[in-house]
Amino acid sequence: MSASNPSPDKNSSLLSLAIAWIVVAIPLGWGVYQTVVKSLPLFRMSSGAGASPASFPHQRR
Amino acid sequence: LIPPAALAVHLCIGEIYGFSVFNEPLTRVVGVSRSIEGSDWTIPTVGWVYSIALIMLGLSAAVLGRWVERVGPRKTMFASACAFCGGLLLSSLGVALHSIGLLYLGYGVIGGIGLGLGYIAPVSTLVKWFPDRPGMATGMAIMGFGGGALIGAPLGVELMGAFKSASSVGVKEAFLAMACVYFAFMLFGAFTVRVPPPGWRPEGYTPPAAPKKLVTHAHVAVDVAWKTPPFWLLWMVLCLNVTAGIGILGQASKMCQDMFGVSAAVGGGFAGLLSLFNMGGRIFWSSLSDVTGRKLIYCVYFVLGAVLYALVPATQRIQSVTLFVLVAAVIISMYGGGFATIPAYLRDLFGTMHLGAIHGRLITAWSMAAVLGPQLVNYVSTYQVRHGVPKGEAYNLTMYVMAGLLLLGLGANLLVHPVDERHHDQETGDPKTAVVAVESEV
Repeated sequence: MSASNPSPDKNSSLLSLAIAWIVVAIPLGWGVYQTVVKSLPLFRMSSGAGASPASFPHQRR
Repeated sequence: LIPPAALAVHLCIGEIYGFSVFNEPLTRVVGVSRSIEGSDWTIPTVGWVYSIALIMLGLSAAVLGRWVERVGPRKTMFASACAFCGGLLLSSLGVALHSIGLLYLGYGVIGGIGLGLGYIAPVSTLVKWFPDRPGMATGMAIMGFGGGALIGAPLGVELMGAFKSASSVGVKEAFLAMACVYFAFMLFGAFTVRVPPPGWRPEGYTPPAAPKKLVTHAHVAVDVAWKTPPFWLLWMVLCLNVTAGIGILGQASKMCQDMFGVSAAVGGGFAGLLSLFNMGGRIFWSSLSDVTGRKLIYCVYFVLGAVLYALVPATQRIQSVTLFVLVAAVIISMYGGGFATIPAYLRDLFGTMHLGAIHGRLITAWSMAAVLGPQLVNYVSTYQVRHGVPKGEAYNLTMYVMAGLLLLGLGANLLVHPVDERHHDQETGDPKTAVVAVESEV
């Protein structure tokens, strides 16, 4: 069966395949970038404050 | 070209997860700079848009599944684009006329139908193109739904910022722009997707004569499938896995702030990080399921998930944000994995003939979980606070409840067994020759 079957991308040139992936990768990459930027405060907080109770406002209260 | 086509549609409809960015601006449509009591909509009023859309997603996937199987992925994706983007256009009109009914009808009902159609449209086709790696194939598409939130939320914020003026909060213009952009993107998916010829197999792939996993080579019709015990066991598996995950995902920012006293910005960062793991988990765990088998991977989700949920209170006690973030990230990755692995599990048990329609009916479990999960977290934590438990510790009991739910899911998963041969479709293959093997290693 497999020998007589066309490959799934037989009719698709490498260029159209690349374009198709770029079309979906660009917005997805932009979304991931935006989310990573949004997540940065978490890492700054983790690296800067660690787990010290003094760094948590509710502990001070 | 099939995976990017499927991704294009899922990346668009996943925008629903980012709808919350419109909530607050929608309460200022009349007042613009501030919400005017009595004239402007309230947050609970606007919140119904999201709920209606998710309910319609489940209902349309369940009801229209057979139509999807009949007309194929291209027409379904086109219909999904028309409904989803038409819904956005109607919502734009609803905001312009300040009619909440039009918003419910547009974004909620019509848009929700677009979500349901778009969600199940490529699943069956992907599994047929990649019979050797169905978990990876469906994981890639369903990863797009998670990724859609990452795009939709910042896009909505950017568009509202660009169109904001002294007389407009920018929502109606944002809806209009999104309808046009998403329509073009979804049409790309619709016109790129193709169904494989009957009996298609990838080069060099020969199906194992005696698969060792819980896999059938026969097919089960949708009207028969949903009356079998394995269908309802999988319904429970999905519902319990999603209930546990959605409980933490929906409250992530507030939970992080309450448990560790961090700022709103850090809480938002935590929620963003979980979104990334939600998306990544979909492709990672579902691809892994092609190696381990579906039953075993769900056992991992449930056992590891229950252990990690039970560990969350300890991270709060020792005030380790890092450990909490790590634990939550793994939990959420498995929540996403549960979504992405279920179509392949269905394919293993029921074959590919009516996979889209069967998947559509199973998605009602998601609608149920979308209501159950957040309510459970809210109710238990509020009850705890009212009974004198400090706010930071109020989530601990919820975590144990979630661990219990996952153990129930484990029980349901362990009970999953092959569909009885009498349910196999007689016209698509001799059930006597269907290779069915009981999974022995779990």
